[in-house]
Parts: sequence; structure tokens; C-alpha cells
Amino acid sequence: MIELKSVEKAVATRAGQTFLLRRVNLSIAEGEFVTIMGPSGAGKSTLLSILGMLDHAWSGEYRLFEHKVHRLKPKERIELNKRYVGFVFQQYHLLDNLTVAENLDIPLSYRNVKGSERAAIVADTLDRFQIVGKKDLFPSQLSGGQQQLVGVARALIAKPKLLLADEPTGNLHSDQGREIMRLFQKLNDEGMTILQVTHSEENARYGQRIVRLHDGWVTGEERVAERIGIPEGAAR
Amino acid sequence: MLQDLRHALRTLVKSPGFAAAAIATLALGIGANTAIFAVVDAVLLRPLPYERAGALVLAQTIQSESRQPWATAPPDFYELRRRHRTLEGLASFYVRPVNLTGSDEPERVAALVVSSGFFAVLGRQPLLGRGLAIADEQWGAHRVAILSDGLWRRRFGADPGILGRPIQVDGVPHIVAGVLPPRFSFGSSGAQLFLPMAFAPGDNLNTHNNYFLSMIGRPKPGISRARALADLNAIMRDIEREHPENRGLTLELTPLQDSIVQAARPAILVLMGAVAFVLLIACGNLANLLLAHAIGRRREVAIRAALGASRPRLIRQFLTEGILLALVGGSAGVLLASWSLGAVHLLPPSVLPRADEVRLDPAVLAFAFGVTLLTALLFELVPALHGARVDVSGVLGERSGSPAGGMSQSLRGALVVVEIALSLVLLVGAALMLKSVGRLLRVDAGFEPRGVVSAELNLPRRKYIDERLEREFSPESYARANQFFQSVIGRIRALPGVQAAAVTSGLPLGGENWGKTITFYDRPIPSRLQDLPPIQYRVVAGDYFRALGIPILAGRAFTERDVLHAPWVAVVNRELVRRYWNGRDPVGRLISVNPPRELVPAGTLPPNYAGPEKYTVVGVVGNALYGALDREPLPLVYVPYAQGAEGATNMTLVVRARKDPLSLVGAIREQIAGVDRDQPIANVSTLEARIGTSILRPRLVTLMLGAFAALAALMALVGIYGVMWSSIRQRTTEIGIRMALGAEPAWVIKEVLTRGLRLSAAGVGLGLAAALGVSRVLSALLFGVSSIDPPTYLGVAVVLTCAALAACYLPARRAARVDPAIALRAE
Repeated sequence: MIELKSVEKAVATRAGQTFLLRRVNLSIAEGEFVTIMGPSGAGKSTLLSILGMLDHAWSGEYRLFEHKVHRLKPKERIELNKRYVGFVFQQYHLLDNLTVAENLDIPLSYRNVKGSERAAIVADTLDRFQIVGKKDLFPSQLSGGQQQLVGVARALIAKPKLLLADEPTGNLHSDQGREIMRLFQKLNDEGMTILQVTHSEENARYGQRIVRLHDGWVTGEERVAERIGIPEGAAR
Repeated sequence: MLQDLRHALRTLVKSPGFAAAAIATLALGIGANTAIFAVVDAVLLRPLPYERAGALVLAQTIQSESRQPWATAPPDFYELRRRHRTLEGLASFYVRPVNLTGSDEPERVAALVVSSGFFAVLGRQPLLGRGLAIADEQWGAHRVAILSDGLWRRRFGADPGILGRPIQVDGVPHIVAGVLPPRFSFGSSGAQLFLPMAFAPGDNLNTHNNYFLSMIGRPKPGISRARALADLNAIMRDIEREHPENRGLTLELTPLQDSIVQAARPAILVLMGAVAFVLLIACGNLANLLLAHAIGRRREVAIRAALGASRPRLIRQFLTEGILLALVGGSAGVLLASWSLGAVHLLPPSVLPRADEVRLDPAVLAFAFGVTLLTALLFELVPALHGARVDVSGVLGERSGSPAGGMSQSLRGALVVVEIALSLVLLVGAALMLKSVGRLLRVDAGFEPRGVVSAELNLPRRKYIDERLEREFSPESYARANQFFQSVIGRIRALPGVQAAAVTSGLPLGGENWGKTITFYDRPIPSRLQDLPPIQYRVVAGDYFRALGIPILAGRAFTERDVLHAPWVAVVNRELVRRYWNGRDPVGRLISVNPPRELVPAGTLPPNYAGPEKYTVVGVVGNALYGALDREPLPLVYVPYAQGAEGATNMTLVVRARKDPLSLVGAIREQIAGVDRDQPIANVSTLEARIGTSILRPRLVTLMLGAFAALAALMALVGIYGVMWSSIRQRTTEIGIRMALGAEPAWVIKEVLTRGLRLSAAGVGLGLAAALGVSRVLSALLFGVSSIDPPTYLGVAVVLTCAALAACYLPARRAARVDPAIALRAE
């Protein structure tokens, strides 16, 4: 599904050029749950931004399905992003002056979905994530875990094929974090391709494969030996 | 779109302080522009309220050599009306104050005496009754009157049976033939009554001795103004061949609207420019506010972009917020404008013609709406374009800080530079006007206005003039009028508190409205009428020079002995002595103010005419300004009323009081009523107030320009304050680090003030260059001051720079108080 070849990103500094990513080669199959790990400054979030087509200043080859992303103009990449990608942020990044329902509605309105259709999809999503009772609340009225849940719901509402999550549990306490990771696992079981960035070894065990980054280089890949499963009857 | 609108409203409600500041700024800027445009629209743009007003012209007689405006003699008008081929109609008019008497309190009103085609030329006929017919111009059949709607309602109670009723006009019954529609007016005459133009057989007014008519006309469809003018001037040349006294007179056709408004046009356009500048500065301030706001919203914009919002969509959202803000501010501005129009309606026509027509009509509201949208674009576009350009991954990901912060600061700095430049232009304009008005007020008008009250008196001719004797040019014809004035002056002089009383045919600053020629008998008399020098002429009675405080420089003033059958005497002004006697003492020399008989065309004078009368100069007085404060004095001859009245019945009473002159008005009215109870007075005013009115327009322009300039400067200073403040906030960590490394607070203050000085200097430099170019527009309004007066420019530049530095001082002090520990911890 995703193929990266010699992807590099550098930023100009007074000393010359600083590489944030060096010759990254990576393949991700449809339906995989991959974790990218590495120390701070390794280039994990940068890689995620490039995969999510939020960052256009890079070189190399990037194929997403049949699309040669590296050959597309930024505008075309944005369209591709809208079609295939959902993003979950560490800081949730909900819009503070919009209610939960309105936050969910935003991605649909940017995809020119008709008003009546949007209302129905938002209602379905609220129901699916069991946050109907919170639809008129503002983000400041929710707990961290609830905000991230809304963030995940927002990322999925437009039915993306690829979910990118940048430290999705970084600002949550462990119980809330586990809830989110179980949700990811469930989504993956349903066929969603998930790519997450995390420091947490425990979170990595929810996925199938780990890719390690260090100083912008891919230093290794490994399969997860013991995956964490979803316990029976776990409440959300 | 609805979604964007909802979000925009919510964003504004969440920031009430910002919204209030923005709306107030917009209201002031849009309100000022709307109010001034309402004036521009009513005075300059909207056609006069007559049929096909764009084609109406004023046919002005001028002296072809000097281009000086003249007037038209009635015989010339009749000839032009009879012979023209290119006009749909030609009509004449002149203003004549009349007294309305009868059952009510006697009242003096302005009447317009018009030829029969007047209303037809304007395309407006009375609403009740009829207009004027050619038969009404026949002497004997001419005693009809057309009332204005205002007069009909005010004095006659809107009596529906008014038609056919007689009213007393100057003691003569006139039949009311018609009532005009509401709000009908003509020019700045303020006429409430319209009378037909008619002359008694042998009336001297209907000769080439008297030029006093104005004319309006309308070229036929398809006929150009140039062709109509050629037609009329061909007739004038024919007239000149028969009447050499017309030599040098020609006609000029000016669009009627231009002739009414041209004096006010420069001032109005200057104010329009000024409010446009104010609005631009307001937009600059708002753009600055929004750029600062946008920095705080980068995260929101990045999220929206990450969720799929395209750049145009983001820009649309910003613009929606801007338009919403502008619409609310614009509505408040329209409200402010509507309140201010009440003051505009109070302005006299001499200051602002058509002031009563100024209103918020659909054109003005459309302008307000257009300005509102343009304003929204202006102040929102840069922040929108800037705000929509965001490094999504930079803002949301690992890399904190973005070059957008630095670029935003540069943009805001550039905006402030432009604001300072614009406000400097306005301040220079206001300062130049202030200097000009100051110079005007310091002009020695040649008389002492303090402590003097004046009132206008119009004597009905039928009661006070022997018209039979007048046709024979006999000065005895004015004996009754003279007796009236002498009685009134004597009674008023006897009142306690009165120092001097007099009457005059024309007050200083009342206009150079009585021109004649002078003949000197101490040198060869010219052989042609047109070679006689022109002078201004005033007839006075009583202690005129003492009442007005005009100094006697040589000889004496008039006394009670200067009566009809005494030797005829004249007093001349210093300008006349300078021009025609080279400063030599003229006392004892002989002059006359009517041409020698041999130069007057045959048939113009009665056979037994013995004149012209010769006057002996008995005194020289100082130059009083009769035109305007910014005009040089003209040579002038004063003559006692008893000897040289020449039909003057519209006189002004002047009374010098020991204390408050207005306190004498009641007593003055009583004394006049004691002589003739049907004689009203009008336009009671102190001379100081008259001077004030004469310079009301430049004072108003100065006041308004000053107010706009102050507002603009305040906004620019708030702008620079805001930029410096926001810059300090962004650099708090940097300042904290520097102070932790040893920087003194004085260094911090110096840094901030240096930046502020750089911005101010750039703004002041740009502003000076702009002011040099723009201030030429003001030249038409300035008196005694050049539009590039260096001290003014320098003074304004220094003041504004100091004010800008002062505006930077508070942020500088705040920066110097940054606690390094707190600043570094916040990072």
C-alpha cells in the first residue's frame, strides 16, 4: 500500500543542511499495524507528516496505492490526503470553539459532503464511539481521554484507508492510553492500516511490526513477538 | 457559508474586547466616510431638483478683458429672450427683500423677482394654482405672487383657500396665484416668495444704467453649450453696436449646478480625501489587530488544513469573519453618520449650498455598503492570505516556532509605517489650515466689530419713494426714506447704552455689491464710458464711521449738516487715494459717481436731467474690507443718504453699544416700530458673528480636518504601540536570556525605542513626501500660507515622531521589567 524509497528531508541552517530523514526505505502492506519508534529527534513525526502529505518539502519516492505521490503537486497531494488519510495528534488538536459534533463535522465539510448527509454521518459516528451525550460539549469540557476519543472519531469519520497516529497516548494516563490502543487494535482487526509513532514499548506491542528510527535513518525493523490482544468484555 | 458565518460569530463573541475595538474603529471610519459622502452626493453629484437639471445653465455676463463677473441689464435680457434661437427657454431673476405686512407681525422675507418663463425653464410648476404668465410682466398686471410651501404653511396656516387672496407685499396688495411644491428652492437665495419682473414705463431700472439681473436657460436638445453661447454672444454684439455702454461685456454659460456649488467644491473634496485617509488608517490598525490575532490562531488554521481545508477555504473563512465585523461596524457607522447630518442641515447656504438636501438616500447607503465591503477586504485580505499560509507539520509537529511569526512582525511594521505616513499627511493639512485661519483672523478688517449689533431694514418703495420724481433722477424722491432713517437713528441714539447709530447700504464683509464709476474733475475726463475707473459705492446715514470704528485719516466724517440742499459731499477710502491720487490729500477735490452726461448714450436720460451731481471730498477713512477677509480692499466712495440714496431702500442698521449690543435689540425694535409699526427688521446679528460667518467655511474645514487628523494620529499611535507590545511578547524569552546573561534594563529600553524610532522615521519620511504632493490640493483653501510651508511640515514631523516614541515607551518599560527566571521557565 505504501512504498517509500530513499525519502530524505533536510532543513537549511547556518551550518549548512541538517537532515531530518536520510534515505528512508519503507514498505507497508494494506491492513498492517506498524509502529515507528526512536528517541526524540529521530524524525518519527517528520516521517508521519510526509506519509500524511502534510509536509511537501522532501525528496525521494513515495507511492500510496497506485499514486506516485512524489510526482504530484501539493494541491493534488492534499486531495489524496482527504481521500485516504486520517490523522490522530498527540495534543488532540480539537478546535476549541467548536462542539464535539462540529469538530466531527469539519472534515466532512472540507470534503464537500452535503449538509444532510454530514448530519447523518456525524450522528452515526457519535453513536459508534458512544459519545452521543457529549455532542454539544466543547473540548474544554472533556477529559484528556475523551478528547482523544473525539480526535480518533474525527480521524475516521471520512472513512480513510490509512490512520496515522502521532503519539496518540502521549498526553493520557495509562488507563486511557490502553483504551485508545485497544480501539486501534479493533480498527486494525476490521482492516484499517494503522501507522503510529510512539515512545512506548507497550503501545508498540499492540501492533504487528516495529520500525526503528535513529537520527533520521531507519536502523531496523522487527515483528512484534507478543502482541497485546483485546480482553473479552472490556468497557470503553 | 452558513457554517463559516456561525463560526465567525462565535469567534467574535469569544473575544469581546477585540470585537468592540474593531467595531468602534470601523464605525468611526465608515461613519465619517458615509457622512462626508452624503454631502458630496447631495451637493456635487445629485442633479439639482429640476427637470433635466444637467442641461440647465447660468448665463453670466462678464467683462471680457478682466473676466470679472458682471450682471445683465433688463433691456439686454429682453433682447436675448426675444432673439435667441438655440435655447428652450431663457429666464432672469434677482433677489429683493420685501416686507410682508397685514394681520400678522410684519416680516421681512427674501423674494425672487423672476421673468415669466422662470418656472418653465426649471421644469417645476406650482403645486397649487398657476405659475407666471407673460401677461404678469405687464406693469399694472404684475401684482401677483407665488408662495413657497414653507411660507404658505408658516404664515398662512396652509390655508387651502389662499389662491386669489391678496397679501400685502411692501404695502402693496398682491394676489396669490400659486403655491410651490414642498422643498422647492432655488440656489442659496432662501427665497420664500416669487414675484413677476415688471417695470413701470420710464423706470430707470429698465435701462442700460443698471445691470443687476442673472439669467438661467436650457439649450435645446441636440444643441451644445458652445453653440448656444455663440448664438447669445452674437446678440450681445448686436446690442453693443447700439449701446456702446455694453462694450466689453460678453456672456459665459456655466452649468447651473457648478455655479451654485463651485465655491464649496474644494473644501468638500479635501474633506472626502481626509476621511478616506482615516479609513485607510483604520484598516491598517485592524489589519494589525487581525495579524496579531492570526498568530494566535495558527494552531487552529494548521488543524483545519490537516483535516483537509484548502487554502481558498481557509481564506474564505477569514474573509467571512472580516465581512461580519465590517457589516456590524458599518451599520454602527451609518447610525453615527445619520446623527451627524443634523448638524449639517444647520449650515447656511453661504457655507454649504444645498445643505438641506443632504440625507442618507439609497445612493449613500449603497456607498456605505460598498465601503464596508471594501474595508473588510482591505483589512482582512493580508491577514487572511498570511494566516492561511501555515506550515502544518511545523505547527502541529516537533518543530516549534515558525518563520511566520517573524514575517508577521515585518508586515505589521510595514502597516504601521503606512499609518504614520497617512496620519502625517492629515496632520500637515490640518496644521496648514489652522495657520491659514489664524492669518485670516488676524487680518485687519478695517473696522472694530466688538460691541456692534446690526439688523436689516427694507423700506417698501411705494411708501417711501416718490417714483415719479425718481424717474426724473431727482434726489428729492428719497426724502421720505431719508426722514425715516434719520428718525430711527435719532431715537436709537438716545437709548441708554448706545454710543453711535447709523445705517448703510452695505456692511463690511457683506460683499462688493454696489459698483459704479468715478469721474475726477481735477484731471481730463476720459472720452469713453469704459475708461472711467470702477469704484465701490455706499450710502450711509448717521454716525457711520464711529459706529463701525473706521478711522478718519484726513478731513472729517459726515455730519447732520450734510443734507439734501447743502453742498454735496463724499468721503473716500485710503485705497482710492492710493490708486488715483498717489497718496496726495484729496480733501476739497471734486468727483462724481455717475458718468458725465456727454458719455451717456442719447435717450437714456430725461431731457431735463442736469447731472451728474458733483461731490466735494471732505474726508478720507481707513480701508474697511467689504468683500472678504482674504480679498484686497477696493477703492470706495461714501455718500450721505440724503444726497446720494439712488433708490437704496434695503439698508442695514448698525448700533455700537457700551456693553452687550444684543441687549439693545428689543429697544431697537420698539424705536423702529415707533416710527413705522409695519416696518420689520431681519437678520439681527452682532458684527463679530457676521465675521464668524464670513469665515465659517474655512473654520469648519479646519475643525473637521483637525478632528480627522487627531483621530488618524491616535490610531497610528495605537498601531505602533500594538506592534511594539506584541513584539515584546514574542521576544520575552529572548529578552529573558539576554538579561540573564547581563543585559541592563536600559539596553532593553534602547532596543525597543530604536525599533520604534526606525518605524516612525520611515513613516514620517514617507508621509512628508506624500504631504508635499497632496497638500497642493489645499492651496485653494489657504490664505497667507504656502501649501509647502517648511516650519509646518517640520513641526508636525517632530511632534508625531515624539508622540510615536512616547507610544513605544510603555512597551519598552514593560520589556525592561521582564523577569529572566519567569521568562526562561515559560519556555
